[in-house]
Amino acid sequence: MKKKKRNLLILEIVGLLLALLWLSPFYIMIVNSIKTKKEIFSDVIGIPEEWTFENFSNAFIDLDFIHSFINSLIITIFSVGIIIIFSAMAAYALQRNKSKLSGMIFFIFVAAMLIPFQSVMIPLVSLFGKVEMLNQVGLIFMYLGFGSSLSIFLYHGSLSSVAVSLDEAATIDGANKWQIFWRIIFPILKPISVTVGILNVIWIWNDYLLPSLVLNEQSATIPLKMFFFFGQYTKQWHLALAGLTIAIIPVIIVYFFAQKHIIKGVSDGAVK
Amino acid sequence: MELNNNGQERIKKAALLSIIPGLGQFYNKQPFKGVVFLAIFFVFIIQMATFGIEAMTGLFTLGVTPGQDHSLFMLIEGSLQLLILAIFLILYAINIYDAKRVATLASIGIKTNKSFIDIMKNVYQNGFSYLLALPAYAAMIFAIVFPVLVTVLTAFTNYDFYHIPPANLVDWVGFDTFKDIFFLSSYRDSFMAVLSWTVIWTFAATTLQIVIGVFTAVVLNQKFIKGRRFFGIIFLLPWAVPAFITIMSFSNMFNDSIGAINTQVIPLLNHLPFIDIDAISWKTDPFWTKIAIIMIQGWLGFPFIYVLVSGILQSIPEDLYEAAKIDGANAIQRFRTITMPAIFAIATPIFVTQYTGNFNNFSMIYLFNEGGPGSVGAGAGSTDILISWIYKLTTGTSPQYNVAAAVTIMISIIVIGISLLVFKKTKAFEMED
Repeated sequence: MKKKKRNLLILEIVGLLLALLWLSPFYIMIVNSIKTKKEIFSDVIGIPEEWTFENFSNAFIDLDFIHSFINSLIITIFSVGIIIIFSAMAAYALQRNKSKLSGMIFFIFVAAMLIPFQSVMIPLVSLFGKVEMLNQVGLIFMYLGFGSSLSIFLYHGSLSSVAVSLDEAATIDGANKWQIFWRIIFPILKPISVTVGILNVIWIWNDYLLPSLVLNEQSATIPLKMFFFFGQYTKQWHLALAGLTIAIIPVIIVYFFAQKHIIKGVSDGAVK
Repeated sequence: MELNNNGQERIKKAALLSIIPGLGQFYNKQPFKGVVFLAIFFVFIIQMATFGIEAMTGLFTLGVTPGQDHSLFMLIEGSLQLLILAIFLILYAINIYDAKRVATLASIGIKTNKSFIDIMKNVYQNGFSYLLALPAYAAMIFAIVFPVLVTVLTAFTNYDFYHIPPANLVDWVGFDTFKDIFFLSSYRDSFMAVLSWTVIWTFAATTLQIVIGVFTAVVLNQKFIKGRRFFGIIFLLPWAVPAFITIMSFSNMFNDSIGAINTQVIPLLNHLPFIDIDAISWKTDPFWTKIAIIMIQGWLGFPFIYVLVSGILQSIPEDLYEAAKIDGANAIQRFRTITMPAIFAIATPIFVTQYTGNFNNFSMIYLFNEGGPGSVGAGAGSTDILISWIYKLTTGTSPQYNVAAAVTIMISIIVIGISLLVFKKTKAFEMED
């Protein structure tokens, strides 16, 4: 019994060490955001000798934080909202309609999930540039295009566990298809909607490459603004890390409120 | 159902008449449908006459006067026209099919909808599901299918830095680009070098992250471990940071001369007994660069697997383990016969997406060391994978869009082929319940 207890203790300690190692980049981020530019180069790991909070106010101004935060928020909320609604509808349509055509459409959606973005970005940008859509609306539309395949794939999987008899019962009660979807099916899909939402928020909120090709200075999101700290010759780590610390505070707040859903969402997406 | 001669005649006539869209529907006494199909037909004819013919010939010639004709725009407009043509052909087929179907129904005496309202109701009932899929589908066509079409076409042209429109014209060259990649030694060697490293990278990095993820999940989900949720929260934290920043921070820490690993961590480790390591050239020695990016990817990628596998482990019924214990199975046997099969049964499709994700993991490779150090020819560095090579081929100072497009086609075939094979074998792709 004693031996078993000691083994448990060792396991706990190993786990804690792993977690600490895992957290070390966050430690480095916070510690270095209060160092001067000079001290970052001489000592990355240690505690700063003098604490400077100027970095934060400078980064806040350089990032134009409130403005770019709102830009990020608009893009993320609209894109994810549209992805959830349209992918759920499309997956419902394709899953309930078991014809060859809908099988083929689903196949194309899944295949599109695997196309690497970098290989299609040039024709994509020239097409959207030609129709004057290199703006926020165009970007949201592109996110719908790129995000819907994985989302439809996930919805499709979890829809197969929603009994068709529900649809039939509702039809007998006189509901039309539109009502069946919105009043019955969509609420049942809530767990997978959370998963789809989270995966897409993480992707879109942090995305750099696509917005960098589409958005102008005025509508730049936080990652775009952040990239300006990494100039060709001068990498301003002290500002970048301070900016990063500011930028992830809202994410961490959301994260702590939603963590139960996030963890449940990720595993539900696979288990169901 | 037996059809008399009269009925046969009728169906034939309806189908023949619908060679001009709408006439078949008029013959079937469905004037409203007829008008719609006829209108679509006219719109298409007008579109063809004003824009389409020019776009199609443009796609064929890719321009004749250098400096005036812009080959790239002609390629894009031509591809757009191909899409429009495809949509029209689908509608055309629907038109003939509809005329035939209604005529068949009428000849065996089934009443068909004549009025506008009845037809709209019918469309709403049967076409509703396709209507639901339409927005997502439209976005995907313009964001993915169309660029893919242009990319595929580009692979068969000579669009490179010698042929940049509008100053120069781009021409069709057939399979020449593919031939170059396979038979021209300079291309073949770089292609093979990049491809083999891509495969090694994909397997090493992904397997590493899956192994670490499964291991930590199994260990930390033992009943007696306290604070399981706490670990879950901590492991998900990096998702709050844009990937490019995480990777660039790592890139900075691994810097040969001023990075924290070489200047602080290794000297610290050297204080321990029996350990004596020299500074490692993480950024200038291809071998160590490869080791570094595989390790970092394992570190970055395992939390997702951890959370996923934790969920699966909690769904395995406890009595299975109890029964195995009573039968005398030890911990390793229990893991091999109960835990592993349960994990793989559920998570295989997700594992496959992890492999394909790393196969195309552009940010990790490009942001850590820009695919360097050194070069394996044709613009590729020694740690470049196919996707970062494509990026360099299209955004560098001497772009080679045709080679990039050809490589893209090959990548896509590999990735889609393998994934679909695995999806088909697992239940993720089951169409029937």
